[in-house]
Amino acid sequence: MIDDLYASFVATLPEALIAPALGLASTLGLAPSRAVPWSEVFSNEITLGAPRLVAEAMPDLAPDVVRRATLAHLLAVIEAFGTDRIEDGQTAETPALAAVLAHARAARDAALAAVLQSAGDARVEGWGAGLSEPSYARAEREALAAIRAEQAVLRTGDVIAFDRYLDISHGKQRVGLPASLALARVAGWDARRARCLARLLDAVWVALQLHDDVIDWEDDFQRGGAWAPALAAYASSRIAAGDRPTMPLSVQKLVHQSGALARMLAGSARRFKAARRRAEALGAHRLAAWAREREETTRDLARREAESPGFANRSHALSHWVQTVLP
Amino acid sequence: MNTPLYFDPHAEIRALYVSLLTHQEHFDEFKQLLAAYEVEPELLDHEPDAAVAVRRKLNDRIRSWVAGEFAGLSARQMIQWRTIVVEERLNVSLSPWKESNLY
Repeated sequence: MIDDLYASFVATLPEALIAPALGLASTLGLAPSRAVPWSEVFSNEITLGAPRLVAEAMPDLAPDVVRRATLAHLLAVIEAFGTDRIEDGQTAETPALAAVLAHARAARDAALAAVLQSAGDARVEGWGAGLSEPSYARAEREALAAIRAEQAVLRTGDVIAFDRYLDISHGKQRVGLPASLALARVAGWDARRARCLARLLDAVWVALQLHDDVIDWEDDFQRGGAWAPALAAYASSRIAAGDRPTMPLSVQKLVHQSGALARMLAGSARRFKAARRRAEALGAHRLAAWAREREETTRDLARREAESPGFANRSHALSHWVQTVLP
Repeated sequence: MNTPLYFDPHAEIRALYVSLLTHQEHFDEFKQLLAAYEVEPELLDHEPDAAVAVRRKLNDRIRSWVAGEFAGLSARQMIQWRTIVVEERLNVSLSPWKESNLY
């Protein structure tokens, strides 16, 4: 479904943008070649297909509405990756890339509007009280503010407390909500269930973000900034002066000794657990099963990281090797 | 009576894997020695002396990490492992963003 939906978007583009759009995952550094379709870019179904999984809990929704919501979501996520890459300088903003992303934003907004139109004028009790109308404009503003806050921290080498890191991570994931919340609106969910869905998705996005920030920290650090050293420096600054090491530590040793990676992974596991519980309560069983598996895997990884600092990065670095030598 | 009832052909590799997972210094040295092994695949039959020395050193180091039980890497294995671990080249499509499915 993901590749069909993306193909339907590409088919609406002017001729000159079709080739750049087909190579977008590769251009953004998300895939090693243009031949990799979007459905193979991420190892989970939820990143690009959250509304489809959430819709399991809304059995009366028309398939066409779910498809539109999924299209809005996948374009929102792809566009957000594009903006993030351009903002942090990993990808150059060519005119063609800017034009493809602009088309993605327009198609995303049109798809979301079409989904919300299915809800008609019905006002569901409680929506509006702490639960805003699903909107990408607001989500985009919050995500951009978080990306800029992240850059400010990482580029200045500031130390940062864990709670502030979580705030910024949370802000970066805002675009992951509107399409699924729009489905909840169409399904006539009350505010309590819709808030539960928003918290479920928040937990999933931040859990995935924490995991990626652990696995990628060394590459991110080489590219100019990573969270793990900033969190490790904060942890180190809280140690009494007399207990601090007197010799300078390598960044890797500082990170390993701080326990920051284990803490990030434990935080990720807790959020997968919270997501699993909410998915079970809402009746999104496939999503619950996936969250359960991730909860167990990540909790185990956090434990091993705490026992043997650097374990998560070494296991990631050796994963392809071990798949080859231990079939 | 002393013949093992079961022989696990991958036991040595498993022991090496555990050692690399649990010791950063083993992992770093493993990667450094693989990186130092520079042999063109077509010249495998004429492995240069410097490469032989690197391979011997890595085999010795692995034996010390896994407490002696290691048959040793061939030149072909060294090239294959270097390609995967150091050059990160694979025969499959893998995105750097894909989450790890294995640890």
